[in-house]
Amino acid sequence: MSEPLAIVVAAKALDGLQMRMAALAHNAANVGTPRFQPLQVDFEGTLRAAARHGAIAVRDAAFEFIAGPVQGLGDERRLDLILADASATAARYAAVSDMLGRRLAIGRAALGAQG
Amino acid sequence: MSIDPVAIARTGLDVEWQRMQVIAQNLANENTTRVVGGGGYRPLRLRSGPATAFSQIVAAGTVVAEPTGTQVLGVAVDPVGYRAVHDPRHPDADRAGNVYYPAIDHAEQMALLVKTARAYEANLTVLSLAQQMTMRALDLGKA
Repeated sequence: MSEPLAIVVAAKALDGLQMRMAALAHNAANVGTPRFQPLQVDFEGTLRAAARHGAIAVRDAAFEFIAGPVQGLGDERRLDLILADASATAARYAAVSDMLGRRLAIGRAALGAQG
Repeated sequence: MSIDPVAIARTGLDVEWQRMQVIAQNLANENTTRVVGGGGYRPLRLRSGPATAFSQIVAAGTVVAEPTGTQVLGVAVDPVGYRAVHDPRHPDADRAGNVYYPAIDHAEQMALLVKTARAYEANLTVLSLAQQMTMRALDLGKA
């Protein structure tokens, strides 16, 4: 039995957001590293493309860390912007997991009505 | 280029931080008498404006009225002159014994600094309030 597409996509989005959080933590930790390549995770595009091909494709979708351009002298990294991104990512994570919780609650309610 | 308030406030943080860097550079060079390549230090000023691509404005024929955040348009040289100080023993003194300092208005820079810090804080407030709104919306329908 396969789960509905919405649940698989939401679960996969949590994966992607988690990865983005890891990338941001990595970038924040390397704020002082010379010639550092900041990491990015662009999972939305991959997820959108996979969602067109159904739940199996979404489950098999793999996200990856993309290394940005090397930052040289003068391109200082901005801790405040990293923190702003981190808090936006955390908010999205909370929103998606809340949605997932509600979606599963509907399923539970339906099961309760049966029994 | 987003209508998301969090993204807009983020562009504000970015621009105000860079403005702060330019002011810091000006204040740090208040007593500079010579720069690499000759001449005295010219104070800088950051120009910023709404983040709309020029091509968009051309296509629309008018200023695009969309909340898109802000962006740095460039760093311009502030056309203030020099302040000549007679100090013949200074290594950078000219034949007449004058040393040229940038005529930076200290009070003006400090006022700009405070304004920049306030704008930065305002953007932080927008950011956290927008996120609070999202979080409050998550409580919808919960007991």
